[in-house]
Amino acid sequence: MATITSSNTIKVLSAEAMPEEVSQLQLVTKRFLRHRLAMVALVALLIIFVIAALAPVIAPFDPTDISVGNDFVRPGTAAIDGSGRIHYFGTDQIGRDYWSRIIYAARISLLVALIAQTISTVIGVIVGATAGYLGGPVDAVAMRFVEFLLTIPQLPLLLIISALLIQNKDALPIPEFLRNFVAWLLIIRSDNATQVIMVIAILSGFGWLGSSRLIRGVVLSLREQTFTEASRALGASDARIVFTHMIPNAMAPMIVSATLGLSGLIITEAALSFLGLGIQDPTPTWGNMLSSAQSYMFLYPWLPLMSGTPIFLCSLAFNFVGDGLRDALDPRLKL
Amino acid sequence: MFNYLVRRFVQMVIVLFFSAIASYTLMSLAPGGPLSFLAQAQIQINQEEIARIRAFFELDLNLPVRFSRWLIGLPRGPIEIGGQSFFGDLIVGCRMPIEQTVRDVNTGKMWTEVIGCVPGQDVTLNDLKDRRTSNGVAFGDFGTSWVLLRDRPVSLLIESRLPYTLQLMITSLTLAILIGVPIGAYSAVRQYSKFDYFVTVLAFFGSSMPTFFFALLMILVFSLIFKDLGWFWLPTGNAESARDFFIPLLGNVTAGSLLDKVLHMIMPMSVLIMVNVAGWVRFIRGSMLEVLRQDYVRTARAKGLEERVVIIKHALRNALIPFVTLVVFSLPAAFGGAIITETVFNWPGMGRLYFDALGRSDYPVAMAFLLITATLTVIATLISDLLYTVVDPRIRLH
Repeated sequence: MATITSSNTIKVLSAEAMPEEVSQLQLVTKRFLRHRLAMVALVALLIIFVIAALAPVIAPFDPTDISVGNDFVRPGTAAIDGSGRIHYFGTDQIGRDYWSRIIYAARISLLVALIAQTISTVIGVIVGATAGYLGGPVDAVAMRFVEFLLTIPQLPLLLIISALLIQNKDALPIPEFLRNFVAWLLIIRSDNATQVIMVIAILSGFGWLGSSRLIRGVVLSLREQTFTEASRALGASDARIVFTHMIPNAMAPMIVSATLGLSGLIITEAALSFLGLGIQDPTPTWGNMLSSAQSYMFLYPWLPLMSGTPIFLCSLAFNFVGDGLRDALDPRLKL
Repeated sequence: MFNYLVRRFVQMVIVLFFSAIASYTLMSLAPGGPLSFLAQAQIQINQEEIARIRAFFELDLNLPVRFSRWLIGLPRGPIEIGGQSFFGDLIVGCRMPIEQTVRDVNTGKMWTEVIGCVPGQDVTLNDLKDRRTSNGVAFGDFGTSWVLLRDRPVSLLIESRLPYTLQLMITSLTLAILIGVPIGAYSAVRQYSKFDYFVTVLAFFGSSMPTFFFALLMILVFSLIFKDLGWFWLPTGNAESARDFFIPLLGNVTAGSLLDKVLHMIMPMSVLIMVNVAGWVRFIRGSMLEVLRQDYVRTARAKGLEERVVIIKHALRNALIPFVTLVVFSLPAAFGGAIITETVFNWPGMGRLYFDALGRSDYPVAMAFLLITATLTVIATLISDLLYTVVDPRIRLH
């Protein structure tokens, strides 16, 4: 009886305090819309995503079509086949259309980052929430392992593992259907998909470490809250508490860190490909295009500009959106 | 405190032991290596020579034995107690393994498998006596390089590259602190001012900018465009030039002179400064904002202290406490260099060395690099924890 009375009083009070009922989502949306830079970044990202998704429709040329004697054409030149198509960004060292490669690369670079971030968030949530909630030896073992991996400097480790994997194609047993699926998704040849899958595996293999620590921290503090105690008193199972109380409450910091993480992943993938230890030619990514543009930059200085700018823009946009989300979801939140 | 240090030290040793195992396992799984080079070169050699090369690279020993010899330089031969030797006949490897090509019926894949040892070709502890043995990585002997500086000690390679990295990293870290701290602090003091807004946006740009792209942009502007315009331009790669060259405003630059070295350092240094400042400014700003809200700052103001004194002596000094630990973590970076920046600018430092070692399968060099950086990172973690108690006496370590 007491509970009903108290909830009634609260309702009456809140109705007086707030003239309109505003849901949490509306509040968050309103705060996010006010963040001008984040909005601009979001729109820019949407445009890039649409271009990447419609790559086969938008691209005037096949990104892997080599045209002999048509190399390093200046931007804006008409194609030599007389079809009236234009090389908006010119062509690269073996006559492939640069603009078409850039937009196919957008598809690959963005999808690699998105998939890797999704996988590492899922693993991070499972490991972090389990370790944080169960505590004791499970927590100790899991966190010592994570800390151990975080002790070793990340970039050298990433580089060496990708060097080993890229040199040895059979190192990871990748099922045929997965390769074909990735190849279909990215519109590349199925044998080139192996590299892409390896890069995704490497990136997510390290990505979950950070998010598992984050989720564990949140869960540790939530575990002591009264609502957790209450549901435990009501006889809720551990799994129920984790899935209905812990994870939803950990959503806000998780979304923010995942968005900011995308910015880092785009740069890391580009760096690996730039150093020749990631996805390699003929599969176009912004990183490997920039890498080959570097060799010719003194004669054709526009090439590095065209392949490098998208990396910077995407990373900047994800940073701004992540920052906007942080302010919108929880102004007190610190990451 | 003493107990704490002992516990931390034991933890450090365990972590380093595991990372040694991890990196050694990684390397031994690695394709490439000395024998595959022979295969690529299509050199016809007989079994005896293969066995000799395998012995040279210790590939004829079992993995645990090889690892232990690599890590601590043991076993060097049979165990000798009072002139008596024990376990001399213990088999620790095989000179000529019997290989068999296996074919999977379902997938049609082929690979070779070691199924045994040619009789009489076992390696025993007695055979190890005559071998060249390293003193062990744990005691600072990283063995010999395979490719980059063939058959010479890895430490020689590191010695030749380390000065360049230290020179680059120490100057850029120092300058980054000198630039980043005032900017971050000032932008916190003037929160929401135009300056603050500008700095925040610039920090966002800086931290979103991939180092390799920023490096290429600098080369594009300062080496290509400036040279074309006949302005003051900067050399693009290496630590010094091989020939004298002419730069407008400065005149002739002698190869190898101090001016030459400084000119070569400007661009890689600027890239590293940009990266660090962009990361640090927001951190310092945040920590300064927090301190400025504290009661003791209000007290200092209420006492009638000059604003300058309040900001610098009372606020900034406290705001820098967490920053100190952040800077300590740059210690491993000062050794490891910046792999990407050094590679783009062809800077002959440690980062570049690591990248070359990976590209050319020179695993002893790469392993030495990984282990030293891991060790330094672990030490840096300990130092930063200890520094916390020094700069902030409220924190106690248990």
